[in-house]
Amino acid sequence: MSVNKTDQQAPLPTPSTRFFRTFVPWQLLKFILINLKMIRMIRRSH
Amino acid sequence: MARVVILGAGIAGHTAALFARRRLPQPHQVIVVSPKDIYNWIPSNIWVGVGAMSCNEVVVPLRPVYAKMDIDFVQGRAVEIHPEGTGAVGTPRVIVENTGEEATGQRREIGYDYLINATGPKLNFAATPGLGPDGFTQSVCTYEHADKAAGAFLAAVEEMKKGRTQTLLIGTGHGMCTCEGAAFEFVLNVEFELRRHQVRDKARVVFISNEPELGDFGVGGMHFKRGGYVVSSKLFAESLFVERGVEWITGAHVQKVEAGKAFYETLDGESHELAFDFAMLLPPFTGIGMKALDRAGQDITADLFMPNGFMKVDADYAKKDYAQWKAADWPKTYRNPKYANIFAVGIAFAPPHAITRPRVSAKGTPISPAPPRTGMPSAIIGRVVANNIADLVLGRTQRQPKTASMAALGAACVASAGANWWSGTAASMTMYPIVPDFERFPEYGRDLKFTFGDIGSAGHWIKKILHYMFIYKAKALPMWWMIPE
Repeated sequence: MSVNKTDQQAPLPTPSTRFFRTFVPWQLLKFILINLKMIRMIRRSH
Repeated sequence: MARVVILGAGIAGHTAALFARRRLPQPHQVIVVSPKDIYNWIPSNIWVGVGAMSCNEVVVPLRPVYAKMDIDFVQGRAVEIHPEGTGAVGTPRVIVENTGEEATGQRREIGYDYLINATGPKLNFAATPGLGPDGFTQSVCTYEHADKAAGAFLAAVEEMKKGRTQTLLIGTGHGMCTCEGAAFEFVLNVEFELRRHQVRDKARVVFISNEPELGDFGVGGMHFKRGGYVVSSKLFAESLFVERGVEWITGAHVQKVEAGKAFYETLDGESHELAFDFAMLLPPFTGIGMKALDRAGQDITADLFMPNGFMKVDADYAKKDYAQWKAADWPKTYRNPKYANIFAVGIAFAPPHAITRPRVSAKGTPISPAPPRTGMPSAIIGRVVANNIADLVLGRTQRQPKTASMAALGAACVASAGANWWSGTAASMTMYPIVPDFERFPEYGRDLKFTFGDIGSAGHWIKKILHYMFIYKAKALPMWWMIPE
């Protein structure tokens, strides 16, 4: 098995996806959503 | 009066100690035995390892916490368990070897009514010749290792600043390792730091793992809903690596390491070697090697421990083929089947089998991730076991013991991909349950409502906030118990 340099089958993010990953207003919204999802999962586990 | 003795003060042991004391007032006694008087929030070691955080930020001195909580602390290493007592003394006890500055090496006996084994793993660097900080590679398993790794990493960065190309090899140092998630986080942080130091073009970054494919994480991978599709964590992880120009080698067993060179075998049975300038390779884990003896002094280690040194609990350890593995095989109360007052939590309990389908190379070498049981599940198990023991001590035996099977627990994994509030990101992943249950969720083994993955700054903020929350909790500051594991 050789070193896998670039697997072109892997989906790559578009420039807008990359921009939104660090775009603060969008990430603030994501922050709330991810926390809610995690709390839901944590409640199920406790 | 009951005495609860907890061996180990890691994530599982420290959590168990705090909850045991919270539930058990004086005159009940809670005693923690640990080789170090320092608690390490291990998930943040990856930031120490790239120089983005200091050691002081990931540790908590235990003595002041235990003094405040009225928990007795013994700095030592448990070496023997005598569950039936010794000779004329018929009460159970552990033999502890002092590791503190005073009377180092001296042995003492500590009697117990209930024992929680939370000793964590032995970092088995010896399994791969040349592996580890005493050999030719770095580690982030302890804060001291991570600090040393940071020094070596920053030295490589200095070389790159002088114009020299460097190869950085990161991953697992043996075919039977666990904690692939930590190596995954570390490689993404290394790549981020290389860009921050403006030397990315001088670095070749290679990830090597015993996982059969990227994104397996020792849990057989997972599936998430994204963009109207159900996608695998393999695609998610590969996408992150391709985007960052990180090369990867999967299905690999590192056979030995020499100065600047790693030798490894892959699942196809081929042998390879790879030259490196910096390497951080995680070791495989075993139990710490405690012995157990009966009252007459006969060795009964096999009654308490599996051959790998992890403690037997209420799991189904019968040998089965992968097709016959069931969620019900996993332990629920973490109680030893022979001695009902002994429990094992965190990495110290013996899992019934792996989670990822076991694989061997064409030459017959096992190359397969061991099941992870660190972080969130480890702390939940510690709390549940401590509360169950408290119920037993307080005579609340009419209550059914609480259970914490990894086939019924979820886990949140926030994998850092860069430590910066604004440009840093993290992959936030949750899964429910940790051990896939194909009877409840026939299609993917997990509930897709609770299994998701996302990457962005929000993940990094969550990871950083969790760091401060868990350090706060470890210090047992006001309302610590309200912070969920």
